[in-house]
Amino acid sequence: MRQVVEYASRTLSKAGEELCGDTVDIGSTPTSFIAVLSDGLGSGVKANILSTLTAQIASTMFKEGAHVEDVIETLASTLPECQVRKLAYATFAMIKVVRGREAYVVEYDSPPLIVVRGNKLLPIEARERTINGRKVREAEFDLQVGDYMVIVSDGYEHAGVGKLYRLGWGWQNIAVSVERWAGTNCDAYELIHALTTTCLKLYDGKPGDDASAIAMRVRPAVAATILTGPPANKEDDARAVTKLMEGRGLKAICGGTTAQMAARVLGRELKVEWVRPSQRHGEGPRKQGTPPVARLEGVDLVTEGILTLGKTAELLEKAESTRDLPHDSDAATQLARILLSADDIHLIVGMALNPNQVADVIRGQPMRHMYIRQIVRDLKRRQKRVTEEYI
Amino acid sequence: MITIVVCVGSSCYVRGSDKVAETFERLMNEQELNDKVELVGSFCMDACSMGVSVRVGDQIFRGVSPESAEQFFNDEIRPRIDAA
Ligand code: FES
Repeated sequence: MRQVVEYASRTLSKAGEELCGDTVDIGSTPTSFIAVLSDGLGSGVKANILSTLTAQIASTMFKEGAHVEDVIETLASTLPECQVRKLAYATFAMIKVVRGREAYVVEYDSPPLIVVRGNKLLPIEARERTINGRKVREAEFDLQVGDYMVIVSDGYEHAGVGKLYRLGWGWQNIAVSVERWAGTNCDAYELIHALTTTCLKLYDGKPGDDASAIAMRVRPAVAATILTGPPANKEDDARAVTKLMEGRGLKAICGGTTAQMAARVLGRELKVEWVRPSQRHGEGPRKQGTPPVARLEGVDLVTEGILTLGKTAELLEKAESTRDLPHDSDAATQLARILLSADDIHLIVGMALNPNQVADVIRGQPMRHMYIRQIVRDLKRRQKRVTEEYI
Repeated sequence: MITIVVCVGSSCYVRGSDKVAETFERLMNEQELNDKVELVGSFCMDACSMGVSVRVGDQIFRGVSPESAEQFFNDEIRPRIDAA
């Protein structure tokens, strides 16, 4: 079973500052995940520049497998020196996770990573070293499904200082809160929301320092299989449908003709869920531009093709996660929801030209491919593992 | 009971399936035909044309438009309902 790291992050600027001196950089590929939180010295523009550079350099170098020494060396020689402090400096914490399992952590003068397993704080054994006169901690450990991890900047540790907490919220107390939230089985988004809300509350809504956090959760990868378009050769119809039915995870069919073909192959009834115009109350004005969905036993979503794909592509351009989608139940939003909630997506794309679609005939290539390409690009940009198969 | 199937496939949808269906519904109400006719939607009927495809019983009509829907209903659908 493939494991993935689900993540969410949020940075809060010091009250009165427009720019945040903390930078979060999360880059992942289908097999590895890298998150960096960098905290620039001071606040405002200077801190922002320092942390942005640090986060990007660290993220890029660690992704390529560079050693800590090299990364810190590069940072020291790249960062502009502060005139006042004669110091070019931003702290950072970096976590790299390969295949959702093997974690490697580097902490450069930053609060340690919080790891919670089975609702209990997991002690992480770290090696401590001094590089360029700075304390660096390094650790390696294995992750399991259900593990939660949190990286915070020191603005979190200081939250509530002199008010609710004499010395601030503090790492230990933050860890206890994470344990409690982990007990509710929340996802990474809910966890970051809980962290941010609490931090802001402790600061009375006005953070005394830049405060940022990255929340992560390890979970099994979610799969989806999509069939769109009938195969170029009719003899392949049954094969295409079998591939879909044997595919992993949620199943969707995009295309009216494809849906009818699947119904024929499966010997099941295809029911278009079309509501008479007069009975479409409650839903407000019907969404412009997306036709209805249909029901086919064994398939989670059946939609018409070209219009739905076009609208879905449009939604995916903007929405980063399912949370950014409108609360609609039209075909395109439902399809976008399936695609965004999956980590592994397999597309079975039929090559048949639609003789009714003039554009297909002229271009010698189905119109739908244009949208598919766009959708694939946007899904890959979100670090999903997308595989395509043309039939 | 007669079934009217309005195609809501891509081509017909953009050519106004919903408008055609609305007109049919209005006429069914005006002419009090609701217990004699069933109105449903379907995906592409393989009869895409410059208008909306409509199947009445076993027969497919192509090229119905929102503008011609009322006349089509009165000329083609009504006689079939009365004959049934
Ligand atoms: S879309 Fe209506 S007949 Fe093809």
